[in-house]
Amino acid sequence: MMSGRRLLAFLVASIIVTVAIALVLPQVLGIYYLHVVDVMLINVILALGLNMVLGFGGQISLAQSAFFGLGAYAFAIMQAHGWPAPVAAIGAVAFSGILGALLGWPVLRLRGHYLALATLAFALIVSELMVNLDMLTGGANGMMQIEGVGLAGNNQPMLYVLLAVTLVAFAGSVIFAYSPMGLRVRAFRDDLIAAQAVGLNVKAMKIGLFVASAVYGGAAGVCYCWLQGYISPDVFGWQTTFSYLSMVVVGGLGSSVGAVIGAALYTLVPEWLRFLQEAYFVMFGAVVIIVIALVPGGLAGLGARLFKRLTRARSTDARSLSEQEA
Amino acid sequence: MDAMLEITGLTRRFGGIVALHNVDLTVREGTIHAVIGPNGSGKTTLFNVISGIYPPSDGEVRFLGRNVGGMSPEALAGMGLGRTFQNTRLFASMSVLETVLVVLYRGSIALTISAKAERRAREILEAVGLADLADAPVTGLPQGQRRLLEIAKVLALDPKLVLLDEPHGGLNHTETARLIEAVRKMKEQGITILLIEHEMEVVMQLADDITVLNFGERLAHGSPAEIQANEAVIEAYLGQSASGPQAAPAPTAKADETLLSVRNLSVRYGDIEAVRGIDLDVKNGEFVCLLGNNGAGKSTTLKALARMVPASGEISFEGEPLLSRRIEALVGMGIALVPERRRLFGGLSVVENLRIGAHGRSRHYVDEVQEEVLDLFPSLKRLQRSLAFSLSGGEQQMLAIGRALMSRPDLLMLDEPSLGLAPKLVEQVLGKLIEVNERGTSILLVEQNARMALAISHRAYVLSSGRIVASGSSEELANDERVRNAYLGIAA
Repeated sequence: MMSGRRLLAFLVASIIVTVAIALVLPQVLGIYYLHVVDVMLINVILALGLNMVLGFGGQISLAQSAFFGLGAYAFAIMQAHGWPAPVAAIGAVAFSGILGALLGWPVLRLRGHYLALATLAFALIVSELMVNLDMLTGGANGMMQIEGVGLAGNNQPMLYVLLAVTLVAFAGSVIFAYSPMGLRVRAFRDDLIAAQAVGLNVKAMKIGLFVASAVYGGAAGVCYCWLQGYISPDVFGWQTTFSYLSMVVVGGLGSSVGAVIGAALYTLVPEWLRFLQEAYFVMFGAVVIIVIALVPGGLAGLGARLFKRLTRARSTDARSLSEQEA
Repeated sequence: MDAMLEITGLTRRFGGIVALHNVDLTVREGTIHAVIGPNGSGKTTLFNVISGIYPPSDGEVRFLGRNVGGMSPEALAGMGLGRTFQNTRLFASMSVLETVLVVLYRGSIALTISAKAERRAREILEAVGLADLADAPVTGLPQGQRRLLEIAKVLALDPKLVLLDEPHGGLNHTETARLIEAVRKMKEQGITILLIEHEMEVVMQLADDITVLNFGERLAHGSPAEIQANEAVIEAYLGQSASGPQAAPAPTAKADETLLSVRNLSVRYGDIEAVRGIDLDVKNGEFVCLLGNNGAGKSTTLKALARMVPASGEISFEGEPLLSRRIEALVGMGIALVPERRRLFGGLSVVENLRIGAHGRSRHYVDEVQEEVLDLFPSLKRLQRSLAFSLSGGEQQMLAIGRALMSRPDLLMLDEPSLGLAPKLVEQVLGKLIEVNERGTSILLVEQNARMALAISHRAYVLSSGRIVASGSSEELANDERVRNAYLGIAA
């Protein structure tokens, strides 16, 4: 268990890293790559949210693309109706969160494959509605000229905004995992019956986890509006939900750092593999399969194990020395 | 004294099976009340209904004067009803301390864990004797400590009534003493206790009242002295004959041929050396047992032989080296394992479970061996179509042995087949092993119940702290001090 002091140190380190990124990246990256990093940060927020319900809570959810879309459309529509940007942003995140609760409630009794299918159905419904509610959503064309915070297409200032939002999202995830609430969620994930037997309110927890993932998804949607200035339904299509799933699984289920690593690789590796053209998806798919098959615990788990091995190697050395002396 | 828990006319059905029928039970406040009964008599179902895991089919459960039938487990826990589980249910990702903390923080919205709560958690661990292990992960804990932690978890609920489901199963003497002390302390604090327990000594020491279940019905209730004198109880629980099963006859003719030979076997789990330099032989037709208390390394040795954990040393079976073989190859070589906790396919029927044991053989072979095995276990013959999970513990154990025999092994290895079984059933199961051995199968049995195992086997090895501390014919060992010492934890 992380001690309070270590948590604080970890958060301070995260802030320092974020500030360093904010200072260095605009100096070394061109406008195109700054955009890639901006998209990456949005993916990080989505992955962090999915990790809440799937990684911490052990509840499979394929609804992340839906919450992403709900947040984006809610913001665009609210702003189009004359709400000021901050109010529309809060409203959009709240709307997404409420729908998270509405999804969490009926699927309370579902687990495993059934839960996966129910949440996928939710993603399908939302993606159909985005196309077919033309009056509100602009149908297949989506919505243009979203004012956002006036930074659409402005990749460098958006980097600062997105870094700030991502930092808050990351800190929220880390603090949650460390808090007694995070401990309860682990109990719920480890053994449902044992958790109930010690009086943990598992229903509230499950709904809460869906709300948390929806809030993160909604926030990512709002950020997407700000970054692009336009939205279209294909970005939030139900097929994209599997991207977020692979980010979290490859990064390492149940690890905030893992969600960051997974989302970062998922966004950046395609850029590096661009020269492969069509063959790129084959390569990328192969990488995902290799990580899932060979690295249980994902990349974050791999890192943690390496670290442990290094520290343990040192302590065993110390012991064998003292044994020799004795 | 008031009734803490009052159960009247409780019935619980699972499909067509009546697990509990019209059971009455009253637990007086501040007492220790034991529920005993042979395996499959409905004790654990009773606990599951009281603690809210299953709703009652009929009848009433009153806790603190309130009808709580059908309430959720978490609501009951909130009212002060705590329970432990027979097969401990701990939170696998947590440390010992975290396990207690999560219960202390069950309803809090605090963002951080306070020093005060941590102190309280450590006090609770102190009370059950786990203070030293506060930072250890729960996954590596041996069974005894897992049970103590179950109790710590319940204590953190600050309960009024605690249900203990076989808290003593699989504990060694030191741990049992600690457990009895912990239960007594709970009673002194004013906690009412309802207890399921097989070990009659423990029951008689602790209980104020006893209720006896048999086939889902209440057979008797009263004080320990009354129950001890009750003829019906004695017959149901202890079995009619006081004598144990007959000893296996001496191994026949080919006895000189060594079937299994183990030299210098060691197994490490991370930093811990669980088994150290073990030498062991099983001859053709022999019935050998491996004894020792919890954590002595018995199961680990067996798992190493079954290639389920990595090991170093030399193992040969019928002259062939075993350590390089894959786990699936063992069955083909003539080795079959009955794993701890049986590992049946719960959703398959008895016959299907058996047939899986001979998977890949010809239909003719499978039919023939199935007939043989069902002849050996008449009780399974009756239950052929039942699903494995619906069988009682004893029947499941028979099925697990039957499944292993489906490959007609030369060597049958068993890991604690008596675990969690009532004495009468242990006799039956071990008695079957003698029959199996008489038909020519060699047996290597890992067992904690030394008295019983020595009565039926030819030869035995006694393990303590991962080493063999004694070996010889079972007859000699039965009177050997070293055996008792290994069990009581007295250093040689």
